[in-house]
Amino acid sequence: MKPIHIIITILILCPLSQAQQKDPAKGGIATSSTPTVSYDVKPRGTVEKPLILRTYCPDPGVEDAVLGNHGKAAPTPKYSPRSGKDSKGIVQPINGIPAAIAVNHADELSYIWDTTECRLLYAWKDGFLDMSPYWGSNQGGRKGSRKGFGYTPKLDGILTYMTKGYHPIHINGKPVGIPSYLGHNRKNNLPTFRWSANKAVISTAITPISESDGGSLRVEYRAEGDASISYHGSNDHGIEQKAPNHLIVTITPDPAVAKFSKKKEKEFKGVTLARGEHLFTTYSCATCHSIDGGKNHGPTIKDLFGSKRMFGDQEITADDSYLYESIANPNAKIAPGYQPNFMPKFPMSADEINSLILYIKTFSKIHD
Amino acid sequence: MTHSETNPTMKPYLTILLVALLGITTIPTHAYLKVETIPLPEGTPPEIGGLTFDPDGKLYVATRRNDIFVATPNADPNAFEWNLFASGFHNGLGIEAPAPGHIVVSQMAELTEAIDTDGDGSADTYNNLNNEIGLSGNYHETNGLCSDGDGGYYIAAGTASHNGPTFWKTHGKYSKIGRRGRNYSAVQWKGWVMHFKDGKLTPFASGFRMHNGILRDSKGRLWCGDNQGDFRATSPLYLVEKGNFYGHPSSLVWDKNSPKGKDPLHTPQKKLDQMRTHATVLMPYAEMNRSCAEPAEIPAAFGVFPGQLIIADNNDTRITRIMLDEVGGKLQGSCTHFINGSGLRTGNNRLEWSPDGKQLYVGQTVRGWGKPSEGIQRLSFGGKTPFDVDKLKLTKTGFELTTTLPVANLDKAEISINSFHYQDSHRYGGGQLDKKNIPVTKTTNSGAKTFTIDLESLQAGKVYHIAIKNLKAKDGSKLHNENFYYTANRLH
Repeated sequence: MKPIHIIITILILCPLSQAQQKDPAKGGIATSSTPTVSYDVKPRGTVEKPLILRTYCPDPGVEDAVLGNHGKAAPTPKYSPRSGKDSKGIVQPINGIPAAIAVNHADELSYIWDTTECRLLYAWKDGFLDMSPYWGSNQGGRKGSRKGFGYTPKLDGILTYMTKGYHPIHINGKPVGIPSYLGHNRKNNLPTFRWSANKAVISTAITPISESDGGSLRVEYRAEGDASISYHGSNDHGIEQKAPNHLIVTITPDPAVAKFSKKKEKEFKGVTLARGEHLFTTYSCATCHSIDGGKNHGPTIKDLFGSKRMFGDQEITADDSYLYESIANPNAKIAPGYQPNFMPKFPMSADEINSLILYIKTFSKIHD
Repeated sequence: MTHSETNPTMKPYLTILLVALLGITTIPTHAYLKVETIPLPEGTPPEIGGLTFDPDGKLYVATRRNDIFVATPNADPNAFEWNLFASGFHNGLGIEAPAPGHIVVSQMAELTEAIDTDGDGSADTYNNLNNEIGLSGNYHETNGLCSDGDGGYYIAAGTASHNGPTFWKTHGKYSKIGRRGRNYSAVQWKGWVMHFKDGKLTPFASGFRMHNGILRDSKGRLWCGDNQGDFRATSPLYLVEKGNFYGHPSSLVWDKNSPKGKDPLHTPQKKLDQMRTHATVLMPYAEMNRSCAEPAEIPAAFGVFPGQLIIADNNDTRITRIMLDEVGGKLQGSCTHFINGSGLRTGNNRLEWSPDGKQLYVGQTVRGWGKPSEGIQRLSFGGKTPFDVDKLKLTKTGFELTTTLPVANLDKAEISINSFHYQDSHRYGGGQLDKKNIPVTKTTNSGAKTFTIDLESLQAGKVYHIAIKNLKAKDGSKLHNENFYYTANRLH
């Protein structure tokens, strides 16, 4: 590690270690310095003691050949809970890795090791995961409202490695085939993953190479007993066959992969129907507000615009201002038959709310 | 701490004052149940997925984000010394501790065992006990857990929700047919109760929607609730028995006895009604339980209602109490509140009794529904038995009720009975159908604490709402709960 890195690391680690030295009687964590998660949607480990996080993981474009032991989902017809039948439209599956383990060594290295394929999928540096789409944001105070309607966290940092092709290890001369994840051991919170294939038990330990600028890693494989292992992956990596049952692969950042990770998401501006539809999906509004008249936790948006409802003795028409108020301040008026405090205040700008209203109007015969 | 429930010394005086001023003699819940709030380490989101005690009496708490904390319970709720025991759990919603320093957790992707082999207080060995229950990437596919009492476990695997997609790549095989519907079963064993023993996972019972929490009671019976929604007109409590089907069709896509390639959603409702095992008790959604979470059994040491089941409401400040009855060799029964408000927060997800059976630990989490409500609360018996209905049994002509205290004025009580039924369907939830008043023909004292209610008629398949007003005990106290709902699957 270069001196400048040591200084930066110390600066980063300081607040963390202070937080962990709290008096246990006051609710602090007494002895463990193992990283824990907090309200921070960007959880971090340290170089020496990584954070091991199990979560849905982002899929930055891992190729099909790598995920050969996964089930393959397909687009499915939209379902109308009201009629109990398929309705118009198709629901597309989304990208994500369901059963992986995410590990973070501060800025030096983050990686995803998958329990379904029993292999390293990808690695990155200068960040870890932004959990806000999944855990909900901290908006509205330190603890936040924690309304997250996404599924996968965002990859935060610069991608340095993505695996390709079939499993790089051969056992006793044969490809891995269908591996089984057995578990992992931890020493100083460093995981050594255990898995089996071809009747052999293999362990994989992944560690950052601290002398690098980050993103370099060492993958150490060992086979139990007299099984032999060999490496058949990319030739770009350093391979050291220490013994028939022991090999070390050294991976350094791949600039081609780094470029890939800088892709930006589509940005919306102004008040548009497309933006409204995007927001309706992003915040999973349909979780509570059906589009087909079906009963749910909140009123349906079918024929909502222009409809009339009673609040006490007062009849109110669901016009632009009513919809605006209902989105910006959901508890202002509770539609008869529904619970207060169900719908959170979503962090949306006026343009975003007006875009949503445009979208809601498309489900009514009356449009203005 | 500003919450009133953390200051148990204040309220009784206030109550005594009110009683003196207004002549109110209803026992306030906090004289019957004391509610304390137990904080987790500062800075930890206390989204409680599971709670359990190990054989040494240490309390393990699984937070939904990743971590498992351990503490030795303290009489002072603010004096728990928490330590991180293990980490790396994605929505650990079931936890058991078969031995000190040894936990088993049902998380999204697997059933995981974490063991502290070197005795330093934190787990160092993590074993995948089983990961044959698939994971589609949908947010809704959580797993509940209970011990089978013989070294194995039962796992309640919830279905996915149509409000969310799956990933393109799923853990475990994907079924295109199973993906259809509102709450769906696109990957294996969603909507099932599974049995894991000696390294083998076997299907146990099917037809569930979101059975969030599972209990094996002291008699070895298996119980779970389910959540109102498609094929669930209201919140049910099920007695889970091997091979039974409980009414939600999507799980059948993984049943080896179901015709291959046939969409179970196309099964006519009439057929589903014939195939399914009825709920032992139906809990009216708004009145009793909006979102069933974990059931538990009241231990004898607690002080009231020994052996009765309770079931948490994740969506309100209450826990439901169940009074079982046996008719024609089958269990059915009734429900009322165990606690309703009185300082209990909403978000009630997991229930775990302290090893001495005197305190009920309640793990709470709400995230995504309304305001977050979460953390750990502890309920203990306040020492004063409430005047309440302790047993509710069906007779040939109506009901027999046994109260906790001698009854003073049955003749002055106003008892009204309504009957209704529910019809499950593909639609979300269902109303109380064919609601009608059933005239009471006679009420009779049959013992100091027992009375009967005779009705003009009784009909199988109905839920009976028994509302009792102005009933007083000999000591002057008013009836603590005034509403009871009896599910009459069968008649005598």
